[in-house]
Formats: sequence, C-alpha cells, structure tokens
Amino acid sequence: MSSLLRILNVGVNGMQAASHGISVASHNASNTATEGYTRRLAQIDPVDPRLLGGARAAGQRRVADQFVERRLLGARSYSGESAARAGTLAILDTVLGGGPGSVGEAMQAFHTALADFASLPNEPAARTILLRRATELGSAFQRASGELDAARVDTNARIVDEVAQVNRRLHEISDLGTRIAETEALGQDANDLRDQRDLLVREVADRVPVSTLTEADGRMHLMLAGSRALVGPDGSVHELQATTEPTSGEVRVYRTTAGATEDITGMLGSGSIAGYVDARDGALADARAGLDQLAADIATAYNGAHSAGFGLDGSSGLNLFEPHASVDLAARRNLVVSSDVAGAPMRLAAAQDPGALPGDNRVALQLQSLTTSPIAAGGTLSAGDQLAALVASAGSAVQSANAQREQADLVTSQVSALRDSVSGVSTDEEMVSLMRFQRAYEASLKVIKVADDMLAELLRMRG
Amino acid sequence: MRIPDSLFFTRARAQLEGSRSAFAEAQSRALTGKRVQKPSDDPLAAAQAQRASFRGKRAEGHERTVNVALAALHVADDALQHVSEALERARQLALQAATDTQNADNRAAVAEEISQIREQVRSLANTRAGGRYVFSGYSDGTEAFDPTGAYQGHPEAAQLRVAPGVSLAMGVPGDQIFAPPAGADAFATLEALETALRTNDVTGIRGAVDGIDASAKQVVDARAELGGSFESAETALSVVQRIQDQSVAEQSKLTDADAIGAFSDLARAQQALEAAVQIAANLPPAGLLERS
Repeated sequence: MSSLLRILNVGVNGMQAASHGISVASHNASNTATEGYTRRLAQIDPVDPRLLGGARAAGQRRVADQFVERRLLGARSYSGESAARAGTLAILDTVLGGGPGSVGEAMQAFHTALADFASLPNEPAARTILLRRATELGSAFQRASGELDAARVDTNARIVDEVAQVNRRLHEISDLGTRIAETEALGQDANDLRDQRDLLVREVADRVPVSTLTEADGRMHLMLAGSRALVGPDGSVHELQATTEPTSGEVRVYRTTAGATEDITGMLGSGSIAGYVDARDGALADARAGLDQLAADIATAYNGAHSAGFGLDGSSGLNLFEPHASVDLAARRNLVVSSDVAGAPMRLAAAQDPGALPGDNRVALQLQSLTTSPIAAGGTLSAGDQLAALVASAGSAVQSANAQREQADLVTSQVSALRDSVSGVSTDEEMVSLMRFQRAYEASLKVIKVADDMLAELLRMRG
Repeated sequence: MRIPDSLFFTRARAQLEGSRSAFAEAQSRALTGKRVQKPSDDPLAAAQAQRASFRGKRAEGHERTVNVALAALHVADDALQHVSEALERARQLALQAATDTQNADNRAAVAEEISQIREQVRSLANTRAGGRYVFSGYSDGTEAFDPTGAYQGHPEAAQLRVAPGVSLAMGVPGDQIFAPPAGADAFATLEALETALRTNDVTGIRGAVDGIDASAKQVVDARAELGGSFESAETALSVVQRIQDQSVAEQSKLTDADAIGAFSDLARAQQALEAAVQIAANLPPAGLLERS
C-alpha cells in the first residue's frame, strides 16, 4: 500500500520534473533571437531510491564558457578601438585627398601664377592673380587645418561621451550585482539578470579594456586593464573622469580611488577611448603638425626671396606672407598674405634692381624657382614633394586603420560565433528537448496510471 | 561545432554587409574609372600621382611662359625685318644721291625721305608687345629711343624660365642693335646722312652708306640671335608639352582602374551580392520546427 503511494508520488514528481524541462526548453526557444541570451539547461536530479526515488527538478544552469567570454571581452575592446580610430582618421582622406579647394590644387595654382608673374612682371593682371592665388593658398591651409582641428575637438567630445557611457554602465552593473545577490538569497533564478549584466560588461569592453573575476560566492569584480577595480564585489563603483587639460586642451581620462586621482589614459591599450586618443594624438596630430610646418616653411622661404626684391613702386623689404616668428602650433597654421602687400599688387617684388624697373623679373624668377627648391621638411623636400609625403603618410595611416578594423571585426565575429556556439539557442535542439521532456511527462503519467490501476485492483480485492 | 540559430543570421548579415560594401566599391571604381579615389586606397600611388600632377602643372606654367616669350620674339623679329627693309631703302637712296647726276635740290628732297625713314626706324625700335617696349631691356615701361635717338632702356633683357632649368632672353636690348658702344649708331648715321644730303656733301653721303651697312649687319645679327631664341623656345615648348603628357599618363597609370578589370570586378561583386541575398532569403534552413 505505502509503496504504491510512493510510486504515485514518484510519478507526480516525474511529471513536475518533465514540465520543468519543458518550461526551460520553451524559455530557450522563445529567446532564440534575444541578444546576449545564454541558453539554460534544465537540471533534473535523480532522487535516492532509498528515500523516494524518481526524478526531481533542480533548477537550471547557464551554459557559458568563461574562457570564451573572456576572449569576447578582449575582441570587443579591439573592435571598439579600431572602429574609433578608423572612424576618426577617415577625415584625413578628405582633407589631404586633393580636388577643388585642396592644399595641393591651391599650391599648383600659386605656382602657375608665379610663372605668369615672372613672364609678365609689369602686367597688373598677373600681379592681381598672384595675390589672389597666394590668399587662396593660405585659405586652403587654414581650411585643411580647421577641418583637422574640428576633428580633434569632435574626438575630445566623443571621449567625454564615451566616459559617461562607461560610468552609466558601471552603476547599472553594480545595481544588477546587488539584485542578483538578493534574488539568489531568496532561492530564485537570477540567470536573466546575469545575462543583462554580461551584456553591460561587454558594452563597457567596447569602450575600455576590462576583465571580470567571479568569487566563490558568485560575486563579481570588474577590473580595468587587468588590475584596477571599476566595480567591486561589494557593489562599489570607481568612476572614470574625462578632464580637459588646461594647457593642451586635450581630454584625458582619470580614475579616482579613495580620494587619489590617477591618469589612466596611457593604460587603456584598447577600447574605443584608446582608439580615439590614439587617432587624436597620432595620425591626426601628425597631419596637422605637418601641414602647419609646411605653411611656415612656405612663408619663410617666399618671404626670404620676396623681401630682397623691389615692387613696381620701388618698395622693398616687404613680406609676401605674414611671418611665423613663433613655433606655436595655433599661430603657425595661419598662412596669410602679409599686410605689406595685401591689396597692393604693385608692391609685389619681381625686380632685383630698382633701376631696372618695371621689366626686371629676376626676383620673380627666384620666387618661381622656389616651387622646386627644397624649402620644406628641414630643407630636404620641395613644398609639393612634402605635401605628397604628407598625403602618403596620412593615407597609409587611414589604410592601416581600416585594415585593422576589418581584422578586428573578423576576430570579434569569430569569437562571437564561438560564444554563440556554446551559449546560443538552437531551435532544433530545443525541439528535441521538448519532445524528450514530453516523453518523460508521458512516462510519468503512465507510472501514475499503473500505480492507480494497481491501487484500484487492491481496493477491489478488499471490497 | 554546435550551430545555434543566431549563427545562421549573424553570418548571413555579415555576408550581406560585406558583399554590399564590396559591390558599392566596385561600382564606384567602374563608374569613375579610378582605382585610387582617396589617399588610403593606395597611399604610395596617391603621393606619386600628386608629385606627377605638380610636375605637370609646373610644365603648364612653363608652357604659358614659352607662349609669352614666343609672342614677344615674334613682335621683335617682325619689327627688325621692317628695320632691315627701311635701312635697305635708305642705303639705295644714299647710293642714288651720291651719283654725280644728282643736284642739290634732288638731294634735299631725298633728305626729307631719310628723315622719315629715321623716324620710322625709331618707331620700330619703340615697338610694343602687350604694353611693353620690346627693345628696352628690363626698363620695358620706357621708350627704347627718345626723339634724339638716345637709348633710354636697360642694357639687359629679361630672362624667362621656359622649361625646367632652361632660361631664355625675352629679346635683344635695343642699344645692342641700334647703338652699341663699339658699333654703328643707326640714328646718328641716318641723321648724318640727312645733314650731308641737305648740305650737298657727297663725301658725307658716301660715308653714310658704310654706316648703314654696319647698322644693317647689326640688325641681321640681332635677328639671328632672336632666331636662336625661337629655336630654344620651340624646343622648350615640346619639352614642357611632353612633360605634361607624361604627367597625365603617369597619373592615369597610378590611379586609374583597368576598365576591363573594373567591370569584371563589378560583375563578380554583383554575383557575390546576389548569392548572399539568395542565402539570406532562405533562412533559416528547414528544421524540426517545420515538421511538427
């Protein structure tokens, strides 16, 4: 009698275990397309036959591989970094790419105007055009530098924004940690919260390199660059700060712990913030400095020749461009026609000898020959060749940034695929699980039916 | 390997994205005919193309200079040819007037014509091209010779750079042609001839013929010099035109797409895109879900 009742209980427990399996499989199946979802395995434990026997639902387990998860964080940081760099440097293609209004075309037009000026030093139109071309050359430099500077300012703003995004997620991760601990303390399932937290950690990894460490009790450390705590297991949050340096005007990233502030900009080896910083301080700054130096070299060289000559009105010692006395980056990029000759084409100096005016074109010839003279790059390259060198170095910076982005995206998609192959949902698999648990349910039902039949038989015998 | 459903979709999406951007790039290459559209497409080629473009543009500047020089040389040569004709006419008149059959009245009439010839030669020596006096050297804003026949120009002619490293004189300064320090002064000779004719001085008339011959020789020498400049200018012109052609060819070689290659790339990219679309359209592959 008691053993028959026990069998009935086994059947009921078995049905419960099977419906637990069906519920987990259907949860999985419904989340096939949910981002960051980690598939679950229904835990069903056999019960010791000496106690009761049968099966018992024993919760569920997330199927994840810590090693793959760690690689995914690294890959996301790499992708974030290379995308930020490539996105920032794309401006170089436009600024140095030639075409109307580019420094290259303006310089060529200036060279042509110099040739005409040397052929016809006495021709007012040739002088007016030379002045205009010189002004346009200055404008082209200013436009190029201005665009690069706007890109720098924009990049700084992005860094500030990315830091804010990181901080917001750090607090969310901390909150989720608390909720997970509370939920699990009540014996409830917190796996969906864990999925959410993993998703946030990956979004932080897009921006800064992070790793996680899980303690024996399940509480998580979120570490920056392997050593510095961002979120502690107790839920403490160490925010990042984006601060604009007063001298350079550039944004740097700091982390504050216990009142001490540390500049961690250089420690962010990957993640979008590192990509932005690297693009800003690397190729973008190089291109700006290169253009500014070239503008300064042009001003110096042309002023040197021009100031030795004589204008049609006998004026001498005048500059063609405003001189760049200081080596200040902000001042240097302004290649401006000097106030000595601006609006006064007659003062442009073509002559070497004031007694040989107006046909003397010897200084104009010197100005013309500066187009091929090594006036740039420390006296090693002509202005045109130096511009071509800047185009080559900016172009290859963009090219390698793009190649790196492609490579990083490939790595990330491979690691993501690996992660999905461990943790992603396969509908076929879940359909099989559904059938399996359905079968188990039917089996348990049969057990109950058999026990019930036997019990009825027994009762009939008695009666 | 375990294949979750998401893998089909992420792969298809990546494939579609990749094929679409490859197609867009191939399309742009085929449409523009440019392989290098921005420096990052091929940094080295972009830099070389830029250098070639600078060379071409410089040669274009030289070509404009050559044309300025050629125009000035033409004007100068034309003027000197007329000077030669005028001097020849003066010489004929002087030889005729020197014969014994001529009387003082006849000679006085010839003197009038010689005066006109002298004025004509001075006017030719003051020929202008594009507002500049071609025989005034650097001082091309000033008449070469004033009414007294004194040279007011500069003793040097402007040089023009007509090709890389090649310079050319814009003309010959007038004093070298008409009044060189150690040669015949055309205006003084003609003036002396006029005076001799008016004073009926046959010896003076005969003496003037030698002076005219010497001046005519100086004009011929100057025209020979101009001829040399013409040749240099023509050579320079063909040089700078070749540099421009080379520059265009070089830029094209560096940055243009091979047309056949560009279109077969485009066809290939289109096939790949269509295949990716086809695969994505049939996702997911039939599974147990479809059987139940």
